Amino acid sequence: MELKVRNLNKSKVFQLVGSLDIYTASKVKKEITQIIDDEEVESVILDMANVNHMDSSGIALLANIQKKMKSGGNKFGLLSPTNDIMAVLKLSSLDSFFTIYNSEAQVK
Amino acid sequence: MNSHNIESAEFLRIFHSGQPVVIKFQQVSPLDMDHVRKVTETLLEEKKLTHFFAFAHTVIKEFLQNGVKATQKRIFFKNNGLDIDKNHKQAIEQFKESMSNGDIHTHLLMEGMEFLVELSFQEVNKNSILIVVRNHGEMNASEIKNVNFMIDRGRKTNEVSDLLSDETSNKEGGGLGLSMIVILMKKLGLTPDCLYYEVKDSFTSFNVRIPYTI
Repeated sequence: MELKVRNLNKSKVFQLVGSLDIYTASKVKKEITQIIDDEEVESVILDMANVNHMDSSGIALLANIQKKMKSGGNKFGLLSPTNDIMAVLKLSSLDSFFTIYNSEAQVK
Repeated sequence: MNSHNIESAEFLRIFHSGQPVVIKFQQVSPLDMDHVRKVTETLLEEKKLTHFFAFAHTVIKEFLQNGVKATQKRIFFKNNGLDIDKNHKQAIEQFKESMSNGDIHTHLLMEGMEFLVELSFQEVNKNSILIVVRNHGEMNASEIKNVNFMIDRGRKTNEVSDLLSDETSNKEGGGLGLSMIVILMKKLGLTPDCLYYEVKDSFTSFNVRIPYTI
């Protein structure tokens, strides 16, 4: 799993590339959490356009970061999940649990 | 995966003969998962069960990941002289730490192991698809108790989002997958008997049956 970071408006965008699963979720969580804490980030967007596979550990990671951000009154969202990942989110009714942006233009 | 290039026609021919179509993995790479995706799509399209695709793919992903983890756990315990029954909690903690540090190499096999994890599709009674994922090692009493808890938790929960607020699910590998599968089964109208596990002959398998009609 590759992680790239960029700024978009007032948000910090974490671009994830590869599989978000039991073997990668823990490391990704540590890296993102470190940046959130160090830079006091107020809005986090996970760019999911290049995540080809995600399992329940990946879902738990998303929920963890969302919980961390929202508990501090901050924002969290997912950007451009692939069709496969959207299918899993919809099936588990998590498409309404997470804020999902279809394009960068929607991120304010 | 030694059935990597199995053709759709051959896959369906074996499936309709009532024999299991078996795919053995030496590792589960993204390429392998793409192949599994195509195989699953082919089968569900042919059976006009495409509305089960996201569920079936989720089940297979979760079971394969769990199966690989279970096999790797046993290899880790053996290589580190840990006794899964006597020092289960301590051994699990060491394994989790190694996994989060990226020290677990998911492609390693022990001598005598033909595969890391095995996936099969079989037509049962001409009225359903049985998906089975089998891994090395028999679950012990502690692991069975944990699995039963996860299944029971899924039966008592209506939404996956409710699981995500549960602290036991918020840790990676906290068994969210199994509980999630049980919730998805309920949403799709599958009865509890469509999910079961078997522990025998040095293997553990997780099984999901998808009926052609509900």
